[in-house]
Amino acid sequence: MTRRSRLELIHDILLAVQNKGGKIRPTQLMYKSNLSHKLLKNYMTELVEKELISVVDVQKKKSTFKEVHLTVQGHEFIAEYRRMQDFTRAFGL
Amino acid sequence: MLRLFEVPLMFQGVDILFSMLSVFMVCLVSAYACKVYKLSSDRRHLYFLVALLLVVSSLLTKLFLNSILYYSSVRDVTAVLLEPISNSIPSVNLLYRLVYFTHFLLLLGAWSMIFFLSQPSRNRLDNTYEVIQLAVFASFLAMLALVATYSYPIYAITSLIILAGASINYRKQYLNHGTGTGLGTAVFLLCLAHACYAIVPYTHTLYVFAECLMLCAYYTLFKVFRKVVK
Repeated sequence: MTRRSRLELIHDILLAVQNKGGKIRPTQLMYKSNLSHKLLKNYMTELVEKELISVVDVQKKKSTFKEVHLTVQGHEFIAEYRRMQDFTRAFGL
Repeated sequence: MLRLFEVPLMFQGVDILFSMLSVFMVCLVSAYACKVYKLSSDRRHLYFLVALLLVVSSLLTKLFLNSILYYSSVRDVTAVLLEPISNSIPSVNLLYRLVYFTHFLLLLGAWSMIFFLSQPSRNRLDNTYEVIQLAVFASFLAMLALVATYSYPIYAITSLIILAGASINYRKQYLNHGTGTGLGTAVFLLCLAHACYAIVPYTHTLYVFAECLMLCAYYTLFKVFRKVVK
């Protein structure tokens, strides 16, 4: 197993959110993307700044929790990343 | 006028059209390769982009050279533009050789870059050695390109050897991982084209066949690109 690049990590985080229907809790995201709490926090701050995801406070019954939502730019990033991978594979790079 | 080989009369001008089409197709692929490199910042994508840009530049040089050779109006305009320096140069043939040299050097550079990319990443050397390896290779290519301005088959045979190596690497890659078919096919067609170019000084009609193969190779690249981007 090789080390994931920064771009691959970002893709894995966004894909984990997309696979859960565009919204996921941070703890679940941590497990799905195979990242430590500290690393995920760093990446999430960056992704929120770049508007690829948004963190929303959700109120359910009496409790409040955070939820990570995938933005339109996030969806576009995943599509572009997939195209980039196809390009790399097709040209054997 | 310096000519390294004769182009069949009926094909003069058609090869310019072929070059223009090739420039258009390779430019589109390189624009997307540039976008991919910006996104990934991966060296593999950078090398591919450089190879494509070298191909575009060499095609533009060929376009310029063929236009001068075929059309007297372009030749006259170039002669007027180069008048200040042409007086200090002992022979006009030297200028033609310089353009041929640029064309050969750019194209040989592109082929060697593709060969370099076709190697599995573990066989590529790390940062410093990679640069040294490329620098040594580039100096050899510069010498070969210089000699090729006196004998066209030298350029064609050198290209043929580099492209054959790359073609074998892509075949291996396809058998092991099932990837690289697009570039592999294009490289194989380029390889066949250069096999024809090597015989062109002795059989002029093969030039037509070689040019068609080159166009097919660039079209293959374009087709793969269209399939990905669609």
